[in-house]
Amino acid sequence: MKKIIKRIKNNPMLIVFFVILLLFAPAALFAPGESMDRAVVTAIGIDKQDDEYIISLLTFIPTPNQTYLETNSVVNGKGDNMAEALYNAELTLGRKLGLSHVKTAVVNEELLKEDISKDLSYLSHISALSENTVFICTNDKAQDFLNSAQSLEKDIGLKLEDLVDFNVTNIYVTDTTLEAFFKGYYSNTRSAIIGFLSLEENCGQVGCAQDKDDGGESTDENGEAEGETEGGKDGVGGASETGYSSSTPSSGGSGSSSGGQSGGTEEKGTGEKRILNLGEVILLKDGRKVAKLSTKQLQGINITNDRAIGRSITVAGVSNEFYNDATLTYVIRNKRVTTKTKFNNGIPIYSADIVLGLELVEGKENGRSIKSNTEISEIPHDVYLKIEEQIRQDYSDTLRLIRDHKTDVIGVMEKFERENKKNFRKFLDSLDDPDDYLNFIIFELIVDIQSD
Amino acid sequence: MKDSTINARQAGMLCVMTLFANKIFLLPSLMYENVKADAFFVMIFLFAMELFVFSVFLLLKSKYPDKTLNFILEKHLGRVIARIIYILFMVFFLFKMLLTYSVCYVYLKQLVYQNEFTLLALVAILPVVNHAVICGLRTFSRTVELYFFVLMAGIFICLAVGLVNMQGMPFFFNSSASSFFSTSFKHIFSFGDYLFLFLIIDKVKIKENETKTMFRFILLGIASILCIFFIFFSIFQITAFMHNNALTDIISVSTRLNTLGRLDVIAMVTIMFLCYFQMSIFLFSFSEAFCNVFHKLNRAYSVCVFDVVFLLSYFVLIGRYENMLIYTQGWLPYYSIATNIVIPIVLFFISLPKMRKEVIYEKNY
Repeated sequence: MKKIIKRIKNNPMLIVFFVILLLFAPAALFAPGESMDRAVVTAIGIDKQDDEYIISLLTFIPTPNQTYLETNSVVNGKGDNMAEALYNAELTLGRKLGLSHVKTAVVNEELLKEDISKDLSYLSHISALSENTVFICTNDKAQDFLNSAQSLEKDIGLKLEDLVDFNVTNIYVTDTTLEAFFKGYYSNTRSAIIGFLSLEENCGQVGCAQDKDDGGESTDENGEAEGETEGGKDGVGGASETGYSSSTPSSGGSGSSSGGQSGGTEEKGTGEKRILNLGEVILLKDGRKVAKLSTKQLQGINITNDRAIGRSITVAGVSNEFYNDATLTYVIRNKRVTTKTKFNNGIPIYSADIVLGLELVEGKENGRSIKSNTEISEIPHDVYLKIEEQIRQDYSDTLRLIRDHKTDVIGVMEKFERENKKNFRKFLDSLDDPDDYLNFIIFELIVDIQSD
Repeated sequence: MKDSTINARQAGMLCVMTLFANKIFLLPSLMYENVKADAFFVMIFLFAMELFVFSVFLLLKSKYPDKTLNFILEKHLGRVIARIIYILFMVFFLFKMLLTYSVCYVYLKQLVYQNEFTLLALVAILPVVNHAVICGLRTFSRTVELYFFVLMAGIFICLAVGLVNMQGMPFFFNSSASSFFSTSFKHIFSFGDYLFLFLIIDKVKIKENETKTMFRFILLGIASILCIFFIFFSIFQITAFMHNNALTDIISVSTRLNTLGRLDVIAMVTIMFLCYFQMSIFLFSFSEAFCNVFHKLNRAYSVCVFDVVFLLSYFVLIGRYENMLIYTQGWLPYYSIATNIVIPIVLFFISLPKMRKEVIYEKNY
C-alpha cells in the first residue's frame, strides 16, 4: 500500500487521471446511449408547398432485435425556412438529427424552378450534410419518393443508395453529388447535371409505366416537349425501362409524422407510387432546371466521356456481302477520347478524337438471329459509316442542346482555360454575351471505330 | 533522467509532427480564397523560409554544439534582449497552441460531437499535453517515435484515397504577385514551427552525418503537406473554399469509397494524434522559454502558468474560433515577422564564423 501511495505521490498525473475518471466515468456510464439521442438519417427530401419548406427524412433508428431488418421510417417537418423545418423534424422524431450519414438528397422538380443552391448550401455547411451525398430530383413530392424508397428496400431489398449508385456508375457516368453540383454552380459555366428518378402511380399492371417510357422526351423548364428521341431503343441495358414494383401509399403513409407545426403533410394520397428509373437527368443552369434529358441525350453528352462505355448502338437495314437487310447491335466495350483546343484566326476550335472499340452482340436477319463469328464480327465498311453517322448525329444533337441552354456540361470552357487561357479570355471579351460562347466555337469530331 | 537529450532522428520526427495541424484543416481553403490554387506556390515559398530557419539552427548548432540558446543570446545580445526574445517566443507558442486547439476543437465539433463540448475537450487535451511536457523531452520524443510511422501511414492512406479522387491538375497561375505576397504574409503565423528547435538546441545531439537524417524527415513532412495541398486543390478545384477540413475532405469526397464505411475515421484518428503531439511541442517550447525568463521557476510551474494563461486567453480574449482566425490573419502576422524572420536572421548572423582581425589586416595590405 505504501508503495502504491509513494508511486502516486511521485506521479501526480495519476491523481489527475483519477479525478477525471471520478468526474466523467459515472456520467458516461449512466448516460443513455447515443442511439437514444440521435437518429441516423440516410436520405433527405426537400419539398416546398405554399412558401413552406417540408423536409422529409428517411431515418434509421438503431434498435436491438434478433433479425437483420433495420427499422426505417420517414418523418417530416415543416417550416418557413430550412432551419425551422429541420428543427420541426427533430421534434417529430424526438431525437437529434445526424445528417453525416445521408447518402441521397432528393428535391421536388418544382423546387428547381428557383435557385436551389442556397437551400443546399444551408444543408451542406450548417447542417453538416456531406458533400458526397448524391443529389437527385423527382417529379413528385420528395416525401412520397422517400416513402417509396423505404418500401423498395422492404419489398425487394434494394436500397435507394444502391439504386442511385448504379445510375451514377452506369448511366450518368458523371459525378452527380452535391460537390459536383456546387462545382458546376460556382464555375464560370454555372451548369450542372443531377439525376432524375420519377415517381409514378402504380396501376398494378405490367407495362403501366412503359406508357411514360416510350419517348424519352426532353422538356424545357416550362414542361414543353422538345422533340422525341429513341430513348428506349438505344438505352443502356436495364436502365431505360426499369420500374421497381414496390409500392407505397402516397403522402405521409408510413411516416411517423403527426399534425401540428412539426407534423407531416396533411394530404392523403389515394394511389400507390413506385420509383421508376428511366435513366433521365436534369440539366441545371444557375441552380435552376433548364431541361430534362433522356438517356439518349445523356449518352450524347457522354460521347466525349471516356468512362461512358457499355452503350449499345443499333444499325438497321444492313445489306452487304455478309448480311441481307440485317439489324446489328453493337456495344461500346472501350473508348479512348482525346480532346484538343486551338485558335485559328481568332476562332476557337474544339476537336475531339474518339476511338471506339465495338463488339457485335446481336444480329437479326429476316427475324432470325445471326450467329456471330470472327469473320463477320469485323465491322463492314457500310456499317462503319452508319455507326459513324449516328455518333456524329448524337454529338451534333448534344451541341445543339447545350448551345440552346448555354450549359457547358462537357467541359469545353475548362479545356480552353487550361490550354489557351489568354486567347480564350480575349475571345470571351470580344463577345456581346460571353455566356453564349458555345455558339461561336467550332466543334470537330474524328471517329475511329474498331472491332473489339 | 528528465529533459535529457534526443538524437537527430527523434528531432526530425518532432519536426514532422509540428508541421501539420492547421495546414491540414483550414489553411488550404483560406489560402484558396485569396490566391486560388496558387496557394500551392505560397506554401512552397513559406516552406523555403522554414528551411532557412532549419539551416540557421544547424549553423548555430555546429558553432555551439552544447550551449543553450540563452547562453548564445546573452553572449551576443545581452541579457535584456535575450529575455525579450524568450518572451516573444512564449507569446508566439501560446498563440500557436491556441490556434491548434481551436481548429482541432471545431473539427471534432463538426465531425464527431455536433454540440459544444468545451469542458470535455479541455479535460481530454490539457492534462495529456501537460503530462507529455512534464515527463520531459526524451520521453515525449520516444512516444512520438512509437507512433510516428503509424501516423504517417494514416496520412499516406488519406493521400492514396485522395489520388483516386483526383480530377486533373489544379488551375495554377491565376493570381497576381501582390496577392501572392499578401497571402504569404497573411498566413505566416501558421508557419515558424521549426523555431522550437532553437529552444531545445542544447538537447538535440547531432552526430556526424546525422544532419542528413534530419533533412530527410523534414523533407518528408514538407512533401506530405504539399501533396495534401496539391490533391486537395485537384479534387475540389473551384469549391476548395467550401472545405474546412482538408485531410478529412479528400478522403470522404468519394461516394463510392464511402459506401464501404466512414473512411474519414482514418483521418480523424490521425489528426487527433498529430494535434496532441503538436500541442505538446508548442507547450514544451512555451515552457522552455518560460524557464529561461524566470530562472527560479521549474517546468511544473511553467505548465501551471501556461494552463491559466491558456484558459484565460481562450475564454476571455478569443471566446470564439472565428476570433482566433481574425487574429491569425490580423495582428499575428506582424508579430510573426519578428519571430519567424527577424529572430532567425539575427541568429543567422550570430552563427556566422567570426573573421580574424589579422586576416583583415593582411587583406588590406
